[in-house]
Amino acid sequence: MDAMKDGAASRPKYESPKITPMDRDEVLKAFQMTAAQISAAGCWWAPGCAGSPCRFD
Amino acid sequence: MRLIGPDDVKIVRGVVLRRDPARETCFTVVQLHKDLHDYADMSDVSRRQRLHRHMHNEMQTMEIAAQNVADFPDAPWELRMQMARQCWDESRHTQILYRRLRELGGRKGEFPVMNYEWGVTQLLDSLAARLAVQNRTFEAGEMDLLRRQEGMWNDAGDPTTAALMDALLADEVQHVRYANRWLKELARQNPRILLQVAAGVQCLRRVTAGLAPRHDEVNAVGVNLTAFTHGDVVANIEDRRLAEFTQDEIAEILRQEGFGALVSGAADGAAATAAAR
Repeated sequence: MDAMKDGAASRPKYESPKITPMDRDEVLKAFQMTAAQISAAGCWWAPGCAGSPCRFD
Repeated sequence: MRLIGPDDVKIVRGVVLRRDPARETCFTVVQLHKDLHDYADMSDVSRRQRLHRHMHNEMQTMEIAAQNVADFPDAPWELRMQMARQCWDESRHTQILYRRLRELGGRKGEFPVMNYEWGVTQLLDSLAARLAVQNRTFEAGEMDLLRRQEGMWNDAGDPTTAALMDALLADEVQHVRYANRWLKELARQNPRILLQVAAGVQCLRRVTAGLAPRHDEVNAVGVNLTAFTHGDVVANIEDRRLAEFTQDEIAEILRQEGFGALVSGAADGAAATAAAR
């Protein structure tokens, strides 16, 4: 029991979930991905890349 | 639309994706980017591979738009018309790139192909999610890249292919714009649509993370897939505006690309433009 209490004490304090109200435009703004983020899965669109498959310099 | 069942999907590196569409026997279909033949230069074979891959991407996009028309017969008629027009555009793009590929001595099936966009978008069971992922994300990213491609082909001494990129870009702007308009309109009518948009983009984020190349993974032609960064990609501001992304949305993309300090006033379009230039 003591060990459990010690473990509980070392855990971060519980935080209540937060809800952030967002309107339509805020949702559309938040749920976007850049070409670079898409390309992180590999070379999503290699024809656009020069230098190396996904390098843009 | 018909429910997606276990027989409709495949698993690649633990990631669930939609099974591949039918392909002619001349094509070799692979499942990971490392199995593609992406070269690190602009040699003759690399140019043909780039055109071949681009041609196949346009084919996929046509199939995705066509599948939307088939899967969502109750969508508003004008939206269905836009998707049908997109099929026509993408089929024309495929033909244009195939013709150029042959002019450079290439052939259909010369390189392996991968149905990445299809695999992701066809997991999504709502039209809003598909438009958010395919048109508003993949094709918006393509707008950013096509503008670069034009300069890249010019720099490589091929103004003919560079001009093709510019022509294709004009159509892609329209594809992104109609999705932006319709997603806003559909969300105005029914705010729950926004949950579908969020679910679609979250799905793409999961797939992207799951399929990221492993450290020092080398592709089929010896190129190290993790020995470079993607940080230099910049948004094509001018065309994103034409596609009716709001200034706030463009500022957010720029912030994600590392221009946050320059666009701290999120709605400051002038700052966003300056960052992109």
